[in-house]
Amino acid sequence: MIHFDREHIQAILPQRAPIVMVDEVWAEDADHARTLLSIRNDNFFLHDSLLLEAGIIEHIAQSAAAMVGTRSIGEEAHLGYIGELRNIHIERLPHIGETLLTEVAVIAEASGISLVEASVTAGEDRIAGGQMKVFIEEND
Amino acid sequence: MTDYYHIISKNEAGGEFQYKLALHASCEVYAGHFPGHPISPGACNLEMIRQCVSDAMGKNIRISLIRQCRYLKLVTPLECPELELRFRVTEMQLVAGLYCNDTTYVSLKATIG
Repeated sequence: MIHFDREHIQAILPQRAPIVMVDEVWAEDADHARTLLSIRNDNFFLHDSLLLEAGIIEHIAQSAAAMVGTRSIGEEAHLGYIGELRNIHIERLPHIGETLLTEVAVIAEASGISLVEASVTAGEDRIAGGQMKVFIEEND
Repeated sequence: MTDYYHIISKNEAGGEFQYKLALHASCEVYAGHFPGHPISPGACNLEMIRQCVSDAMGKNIRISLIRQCRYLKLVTPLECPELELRFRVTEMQLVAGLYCNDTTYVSLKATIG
């Protein structure tokens, strides 16, 4: 198990303030990880104290990026982009003070494109789930 | 998500809404996405679409299901300072496209509520 906490997540995640949407990552292996995000009042994607749909999506994308980042520790974090969202259900918007716990798993991969299945929970509640394609750039 | 864009103009014909939008290269998001490489986050473009649909519907809408959202080309505020958003809503089903110079950058099919 590889673990990066909030102080060290920047080693594997290319995003910087104000748009860092993962606090911690635990990678079980190259294709399975759990991440955590506490929703604080300075989050970029808040509206009326709720984390917007876009914030949930960005959190899933960065969870996938962090998982991929644990494969190449020591290298500069690779830039990544969302390619596609597929059948992502959003059950409710979480609020400030809640903590998201997210599972991501790679279900297919080819030439820099990863298809990832994600499940986002907060406490007992399912917040969101579905599939995302992410592109990870090669470093120069 | 503050100071990401503004609406230049909007109109509606036959149930299709057209919003002309201007991205703000000065938005603080580009400090982090990514340092030295300003690329418009796909999540921000989703929120921009949600806000414009809310504006058209006259109420704050939620997205309950993203059936498919394809990011076909990377949006940057330098290459695409102006975008056109076209969408229609039929029985809570949203179909939207985000264009720059008549090229599709983002296509979205979603259920709203």
